[in-house]
Amino acid sequence: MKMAPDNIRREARRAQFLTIVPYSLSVLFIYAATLKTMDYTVFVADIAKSPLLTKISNTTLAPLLLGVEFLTAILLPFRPTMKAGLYLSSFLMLTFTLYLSTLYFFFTKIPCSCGGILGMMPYPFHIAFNLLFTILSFIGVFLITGSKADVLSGKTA
Amino acid sequence: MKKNILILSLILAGSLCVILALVNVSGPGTPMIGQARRYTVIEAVTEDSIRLPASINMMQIADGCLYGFADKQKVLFRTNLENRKTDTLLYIPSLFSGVLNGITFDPATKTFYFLNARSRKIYLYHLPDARKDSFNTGTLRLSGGEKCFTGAAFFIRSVEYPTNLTTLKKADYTRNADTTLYTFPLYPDGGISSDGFFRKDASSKKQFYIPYYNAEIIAYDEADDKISKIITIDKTKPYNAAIPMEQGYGLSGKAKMINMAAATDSTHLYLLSYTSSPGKNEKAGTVVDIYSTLTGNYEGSLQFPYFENHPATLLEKYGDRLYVAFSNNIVSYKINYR
Repeated sequence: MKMAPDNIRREARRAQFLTIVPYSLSVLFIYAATLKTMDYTVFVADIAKSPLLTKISNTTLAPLLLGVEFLTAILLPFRPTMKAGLYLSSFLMLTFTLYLSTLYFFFTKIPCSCGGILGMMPYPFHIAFNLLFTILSFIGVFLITGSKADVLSGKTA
Repeated sequence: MKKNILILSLILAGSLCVILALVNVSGPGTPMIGQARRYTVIEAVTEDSIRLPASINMMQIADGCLYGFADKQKVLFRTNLENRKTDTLLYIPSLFSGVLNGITFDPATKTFYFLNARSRKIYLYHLPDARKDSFNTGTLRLSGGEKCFTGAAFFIRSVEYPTNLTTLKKADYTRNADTTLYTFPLYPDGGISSDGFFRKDASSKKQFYIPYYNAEIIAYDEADDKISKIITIDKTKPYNAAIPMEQGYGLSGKAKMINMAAATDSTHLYLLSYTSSPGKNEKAGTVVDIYSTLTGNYEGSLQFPYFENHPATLLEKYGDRLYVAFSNNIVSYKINYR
């Protein structure tokens, strides 16, 4: 059966989105996790300073967080694992956004433990940045369902 | 579609649960000490309670009157312990704008001194004739202090800029001269890690600098011009309690407060500790540890339950009674050594 031109355009946009967004998210996670790994001691110390993480061992949380970030970055670019990656990315980005917002609005504005340019962002900008990627992850989850990527991974809507 | 909405709702709920759980366990918590406290040596018998018009940040008892300063309202109260009448001595919010770095009372001249580092001024309130005055601290920086017993000198904590070296000094502002008595380990945080408060005992002429975040209490004997230390039972080492901020340094959310308030008499230091010992239900603001100021040894502890849902915040010793402030309520306890 032939597809209508509108449907073709929509499918093309969806395919474009599902290429750009997961790759962008993957790059973001690789960038953040790599910088934290390179400056691991500072990252562990920054976690230790967070008033929200007082009861959590920083030496346990730091490798766990890095592991999850790298795992998400690996899952996102590949079609069979993209959906799982987008779910994980949605959870991580939303949790980071809520964490930063809680620190910003209710606690001392401690420096963010993200490395590089992310760590230098002012809090409101960092929160907006995270929120944007959270929304993109959420949209990605909806778009991937029923797309060719989902069919390729052997799933149906 | 429905499945996605369900999963994303679960993700949203999961994230919220994670943050709520983190908020729930946030804060530095109560530091645990290695040794058990002795509660059988000293006994506190409840005697009386007084309700003040506001919650106070400074408490001083002299000549049968309790003086309390409410920093929020910038009011100095006086309550007669006999007839329990309370009157307002001072109400000058404009004079003490910003945070005060200390309030100290000189029993010899019956004068209150209000220290303000920002304006580099010390304000005086002379009790007998209600005279008010002030003088500049000049080039001598201070970030807290206590009036000495003799002369015009103050026992102060000073932070030097730009080295951030924190010292305890004896400073005479009338002569713009000072002597360094003790130098703290160097923290680059503007003195936050060595922050603390002052107490003194008129009968023994001893003054104490009690740090909030570590176990080393510095005692200054003015008569012998000698510095000594009392190490509290938590043995908390001096450490950096600050974190870098956008401008300068701020107190870390994980900085654990060890010492909250203190009172002294001729032989003892009563210290309101925020630590708890193994196997005991010792909530923050309920335990007072007692140390001999002659030997520096720990003698015993007292535990005070919350009063009207408030923990203890201030202590004052007067005669054989220990006065404990619980927000705007002051409860007096008779102290008996068994």
